[in-house]
Amino acid sequence: MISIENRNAVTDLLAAATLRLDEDELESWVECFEETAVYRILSRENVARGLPLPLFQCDNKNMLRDRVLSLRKANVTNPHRDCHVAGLPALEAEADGTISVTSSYALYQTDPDGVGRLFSVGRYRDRIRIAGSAAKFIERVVIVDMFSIPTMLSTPI
Amino acid sequence: MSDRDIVWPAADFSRVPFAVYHDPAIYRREQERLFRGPTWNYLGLAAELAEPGDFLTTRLGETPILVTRAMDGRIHAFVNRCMHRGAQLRREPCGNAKSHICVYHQWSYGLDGSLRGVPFPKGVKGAGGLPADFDRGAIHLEELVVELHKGVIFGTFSRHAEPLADYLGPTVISELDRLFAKPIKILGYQRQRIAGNWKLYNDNVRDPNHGGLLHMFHATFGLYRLSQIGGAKMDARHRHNITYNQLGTDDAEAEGGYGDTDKVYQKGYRLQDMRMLQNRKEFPDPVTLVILSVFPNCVFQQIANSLCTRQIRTYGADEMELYWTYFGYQDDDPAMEDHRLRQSNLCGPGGYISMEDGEAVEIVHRTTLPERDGHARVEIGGKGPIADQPNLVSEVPIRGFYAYYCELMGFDVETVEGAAR
Ligand code: FES
Ligand SMILES: [Fe+2]
Repeated sequence: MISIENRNAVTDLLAAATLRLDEDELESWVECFEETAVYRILSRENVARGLPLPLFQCDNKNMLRDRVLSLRKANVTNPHRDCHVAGLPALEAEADGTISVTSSYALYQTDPDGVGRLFSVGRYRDRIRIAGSAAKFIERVVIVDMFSIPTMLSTPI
Repeated sequence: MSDRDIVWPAADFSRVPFAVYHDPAIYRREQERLFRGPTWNYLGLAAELAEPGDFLTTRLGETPILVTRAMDGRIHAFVNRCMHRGAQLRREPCGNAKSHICVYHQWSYGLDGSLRGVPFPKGVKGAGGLPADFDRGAIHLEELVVELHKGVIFGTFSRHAEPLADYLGPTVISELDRLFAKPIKILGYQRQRIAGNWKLYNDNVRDPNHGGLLHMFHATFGLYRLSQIGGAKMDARHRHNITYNQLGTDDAEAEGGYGDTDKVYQKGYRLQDMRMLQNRKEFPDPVTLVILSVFPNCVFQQIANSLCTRQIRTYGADEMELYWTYFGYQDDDPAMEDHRLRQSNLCGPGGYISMEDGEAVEIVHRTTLPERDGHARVEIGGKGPIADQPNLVSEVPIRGFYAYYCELMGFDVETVEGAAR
């Protein structure tokens, strides 16, 4: 049984995680994760075949910080704005007190001429820990159904 | 279009007409003369077809291809198209089967491509079915010629292609021997859809110069700088290219070459998790980066411990898919496999040092579309004769690509160099 307070903490975290990306607040997006958190983007094709290769993998928060630093200072990205549309989350309490959450998403990208396209659809599989009133990811796995990535995968999903 | 419309104004290929990236008639001719011509094309890796009956589907240019391992262990490649009325025969990316059965009318084929069965061959109650002169034995999936080198599967449509070993040449072969010295293990796949002509990607991988300029991650964190030891080697015909370099071989003086492009090479940034950049030495030589491009459809990569093939699949003049197959070695311990998976962050559509290539191809494709009579300027590393490059500030291998391309396409090339615009 997940309390209504915990449920609210989880949905607040899910909303923050996508809205911060949409607002290009990458540094505060990183703050949705615990220090030891894992963030992975996987191609549905590899998951279906039992192959371990990721599209994007951070094994801890420092690697998330490195991604963001690189996106800010080094990488040349396709100019765009993200817009996530997320489906309702399904929550499940785990024996260790954490919460597993599954939800679907669609991610649209709009270019500087105002032309948009569907960039990605898939699922989030999350493991979330609640400490006090705040929830953070200990794991966020994105399984991408549109695994032939249009143009480039620059900003996280 | 006619040959007249396309102008190659420089005999040294230092000008590439923008029209070759856009013209649908040129694209059609490429399918016929390059992809179905006397070239050897990457189709996959034998490690993907370990057991008899294993198959995979791929593309050679835009032609769908089915690659199978037959019961006798031999690898065959066919056009993935039913000989009845042309339906796509296998629709899944890979699998294992004893035969290939077309979903449309259930014609079935053996793993060697021979037609085995047609339902209701004699019709029903003496009516319908196949005509008396139907010769089942004469019907066979359209088969390619296949040759393997060190477990890399190459195929050609042409009965006139030179042997694979001659086509690749000793320089390319020694790189493949190095990369595939041990049995490999497939780690997975990545795909990238790029709204641009397939040759723009070939240009990109024959351009060592961009590696240290576009991919700022490289330069910022020291993995690849134009000031390091490196260069480009080609085969005798200059159609293939090997770009290589060695990590950590530049000194402060050489780094100065970045001059006022200081956005590219920024001192003072470092990663918090340095495992991304660590090269665990696994080859007998000091080379830390190899980008081997084989004409016309593939790239073999070593970037530190990130190993993969990249196959170019065409979807019209304006679109391509890049299909990345990552691998390690069967004798990797778990720590090494972990390291390779972590370093896969370097490459692919979201790779620290490769994500920009999709965008680079697209911005060239978009803006050259209206420039029917314009030309790309390919002069870095010098003009004139095409030769190996002892450093990375060069794009000469692009000229090598087009020299062979024009030969196969039958394009006339101006002999007066002064005609270059
Ligand atoms: S098209 Fe394949 S059986 Fe008819
Ligand atoms: Fe590149």
